[in-house]
Amino acid sequence: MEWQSYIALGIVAITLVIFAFRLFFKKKSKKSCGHGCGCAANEKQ
Amino acid sequence: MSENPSIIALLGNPNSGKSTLFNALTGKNQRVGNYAGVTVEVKSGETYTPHGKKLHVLDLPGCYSLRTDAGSPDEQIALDALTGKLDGIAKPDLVVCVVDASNLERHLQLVLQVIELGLPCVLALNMVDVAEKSGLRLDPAKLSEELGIPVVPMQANASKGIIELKQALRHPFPHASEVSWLTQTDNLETNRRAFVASLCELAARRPDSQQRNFTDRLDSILLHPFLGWVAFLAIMFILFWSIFSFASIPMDFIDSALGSFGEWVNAMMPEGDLRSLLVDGVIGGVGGVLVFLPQILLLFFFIGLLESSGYMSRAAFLMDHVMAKAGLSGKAFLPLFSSYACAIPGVMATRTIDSAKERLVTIFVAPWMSCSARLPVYFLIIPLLLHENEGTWKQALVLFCIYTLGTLTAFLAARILRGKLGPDKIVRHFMLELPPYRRPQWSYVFRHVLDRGWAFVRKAGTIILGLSILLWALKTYPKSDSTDPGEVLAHSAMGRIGELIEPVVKPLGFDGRTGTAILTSFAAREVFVSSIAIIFSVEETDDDVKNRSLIRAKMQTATWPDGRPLFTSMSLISLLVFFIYALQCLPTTAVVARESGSWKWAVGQFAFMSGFAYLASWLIFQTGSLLGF
Amino acid sequence: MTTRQPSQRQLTLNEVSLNCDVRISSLNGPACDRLRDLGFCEQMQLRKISNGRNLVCTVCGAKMAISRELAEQVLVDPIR
Repeated sequence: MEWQSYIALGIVAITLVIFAFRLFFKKKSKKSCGHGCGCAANEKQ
Repeated sequence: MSENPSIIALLGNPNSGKSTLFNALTGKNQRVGNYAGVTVEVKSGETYTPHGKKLHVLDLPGCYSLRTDAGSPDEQIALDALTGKLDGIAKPDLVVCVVDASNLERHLQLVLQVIELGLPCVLALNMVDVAEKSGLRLDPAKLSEELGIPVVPMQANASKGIIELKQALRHPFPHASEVSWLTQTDNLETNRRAFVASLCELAARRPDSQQRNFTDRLDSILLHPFLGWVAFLAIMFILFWSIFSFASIPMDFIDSALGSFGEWVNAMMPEGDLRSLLVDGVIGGVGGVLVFLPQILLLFFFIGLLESSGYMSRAAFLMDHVMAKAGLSGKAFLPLFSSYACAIPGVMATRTIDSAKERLVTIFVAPWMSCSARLPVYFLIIPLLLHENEGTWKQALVLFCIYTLGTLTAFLAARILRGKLGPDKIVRHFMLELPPYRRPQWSYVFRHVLDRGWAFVRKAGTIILGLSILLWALKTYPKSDSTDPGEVLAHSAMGRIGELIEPVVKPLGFDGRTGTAILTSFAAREVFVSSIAIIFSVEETDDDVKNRSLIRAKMQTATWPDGRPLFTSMSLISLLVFFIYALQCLPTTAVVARESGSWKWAVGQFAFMSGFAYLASWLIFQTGSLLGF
Repeated sequence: MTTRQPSQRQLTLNEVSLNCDVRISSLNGPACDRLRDLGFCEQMQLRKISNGRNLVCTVCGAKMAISRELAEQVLVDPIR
């Protein structure tokens, strides 16, 4: 189905944009972990 | 009415219960463990006095004294925080000295030093239950009178005394007390210690005989030169075995739930790209990782138990001898053990290590303690290797061997590196407190497990989801007209990448598809599982989406173009070895750069470990193949 | 500074036998300050409960493990 292809491609494009944004534009605030390793060390200081 | 909230700092020896008190005051769930070195950063939170005034609360790292020539980095941090020298943290308006009531002779030193700094102070006399049980006769009123500061008896882990403490923190804050022990002009330290001794005589009389208590009885086994080791290995093995066996029921449940969900989507939607994206990409990719949630939860549960009970110090004590062979001390054991959960807090915990060189070495080898992110990869491959379903002791044994291999190599590397760095200028000696065994704080342990579990799910729902979507796209586009799945894959972007990579990974026993999956795992190790699920998925008809061991079934039937099985025993072992040694975590590299003070170390570590992983994998596979396996 | 009978010999913590109560008489060495921070002060009573590469002692209610080099710097008198 055509519409499925369009939506699927749209989702892929949005995902790409989000990743690019995180990689290049997000300030790398590597205070502690930053990511979801779950240790409590990334509580707000 | 909007003045700046006042700042109070929690200070005390390690193990005095500061972090438990901090959690009780601020409602947060900071890490709490019954060993020195759990808090290595200044944590902050907020609480309110009974009158509704807001207070900023700082949890400082535990320290034994406030010398200017402080022993380890975390002690220096505490001193800097109290004198207002830490970036971004203002000087506190009041210090709450958290003191273990059963051990005042040592803990009071710190209180006096705080008073000498001219800071207003409140004494939180914690663990009064333990003190009373050991027969100590406490007199908080006398203590307060002699010191000139409020004294609040409490039991932070039972939330007793919190209200009274908050009462003592009401405005206006008590004034800084006078230094009444600076009588003669000679040695301040001698005067301080004499004052502490007289205080303890007055207000904390100890019974004459030292009775053998539960801790002593347990330690006669756990600290025994031989039995202690037996106990240690037994505990570690039981830990691994439990993770495999107890988790299988919830794992099967999650798996069949996901399978049914996939079936339902398949039935609801007509065939097409979006359906494929949802079923193969999202459910297959994310589901492949989510299935391991029970095992992750169990691992953190047991770690929490060990930490909370007080066993960790005993383990560090036992390990000191072994660590010495690696050029490290027993103090390096705890950061390295933390790295089994996640290297990032492990690297940060190295702040308790006095020797700068030892600290660098520990940071360097920490990623080789197989972290929990590798578990999905291990749990995927191990059953394949053994041709069995999960839950047996053989699998636990293999996992144990994997951990041992990583650990041993780390020790070897540490020894070599330590030798290269040369001896310390100042010799540091081993000293470690062995706190009494305490009942685990169940509420804390469960909250901690849930936190880690939620973090895992969140990671799956964000990074892994995104990568799964992108992987699906790479696999699906550009499209080909063929109906043969092999040709479709070869025509897609992923197929072409695989072609490029294959020459590089073939000597390791992998084909282009596996190579691509490995490449994606540099973003996050768990993604390897998702990638395999997506790359090796075949266009399903009706019944395919069901079984959980589906990924493994697909792996078992995967072949090279000439028909040979792709995942032989040697290639699986080679794959495991690669994951043991490769450094595939960008946040770790960032933290290493920060803690070691230079990007050179971090980049060097990454380059070294990647190269080592490649070589080790190559060596294993080639040797094994030559030997005919 | 306690006055000492000439006949009493000073033992280091290493030389003390297990499960024997002793009192610290003085500290002698480069790590004194650190030892005192940990609770090994003059006049403090302690009991050694484990020997080996590192010693374990009970001192003022807490169990501490220290290395042999450190224990060498702690001079004690037996009690009783």
